[in-house]
Amino acid sequence: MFRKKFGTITADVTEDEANLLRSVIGQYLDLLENDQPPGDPVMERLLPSASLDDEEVDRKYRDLALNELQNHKRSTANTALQCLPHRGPWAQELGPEETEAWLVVLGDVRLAIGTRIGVTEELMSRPVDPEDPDEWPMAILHYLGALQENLVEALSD
Amino acid sequence: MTETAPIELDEPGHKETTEPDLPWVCIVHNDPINLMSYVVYVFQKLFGYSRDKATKLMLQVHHEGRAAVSSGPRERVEMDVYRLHAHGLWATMTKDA
Repeated sequence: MFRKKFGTITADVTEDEANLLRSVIGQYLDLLENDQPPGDPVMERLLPSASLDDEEVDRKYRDLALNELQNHKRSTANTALQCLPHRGPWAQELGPEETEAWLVVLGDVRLAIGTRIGVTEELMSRPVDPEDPDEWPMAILHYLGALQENLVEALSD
Repeated sequence: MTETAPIELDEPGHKETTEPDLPWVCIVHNDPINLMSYVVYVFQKLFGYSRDKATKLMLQVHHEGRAAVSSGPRERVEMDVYRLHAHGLWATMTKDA
């Protein structure tokens, strides 16, 4: 979990959690670094259209921002990933850039997983169902959500 | 500075279509994944809104499906959309009607 100590955010995460985080952020990074089929819902959610009904507005925005947004997301994920030790638990004082990267990447990984399994608000409000084929992604979604919530709270302390 | 008499700039037959640029609006849409607390945090951080204002906007997004979070010239709103996308929020822009 994250907490604020003397104005600095510290991460204190068990080995199992660190392994899970390394794995999901790594998979998210793979997704960003490799071309996805056109219209892939996860990519459309991560790099959304800038207009609901005006293609011209969206085209101009994409010309201007799409590359930068992709690079920004990659570098954010890399910054977070590099904080994690190769093995063992993760205990670290985070700098402002690392804190920001973790805050954002936890949300982005949740967007990728949640969009892939087509999660709804109703599904998110229910406890994880062991009979659900998406039991694992749902459990990871909740875990990452709790961790992000924890970081937001630590930042607001 | 002194006040001067208004100068008539518009000559007949010489009118240009310089209707004032309508402001653009940045809209954030609801999604089932982002945490409410995170969305409030992002509104505060990106726009400098108070916690109260950021919370009201977040609740509007949550209950009404969308909320206008900023407005201004096209370039600035484009930048706002970019910063929201960089934070994983679903934002679009539209010309104020």
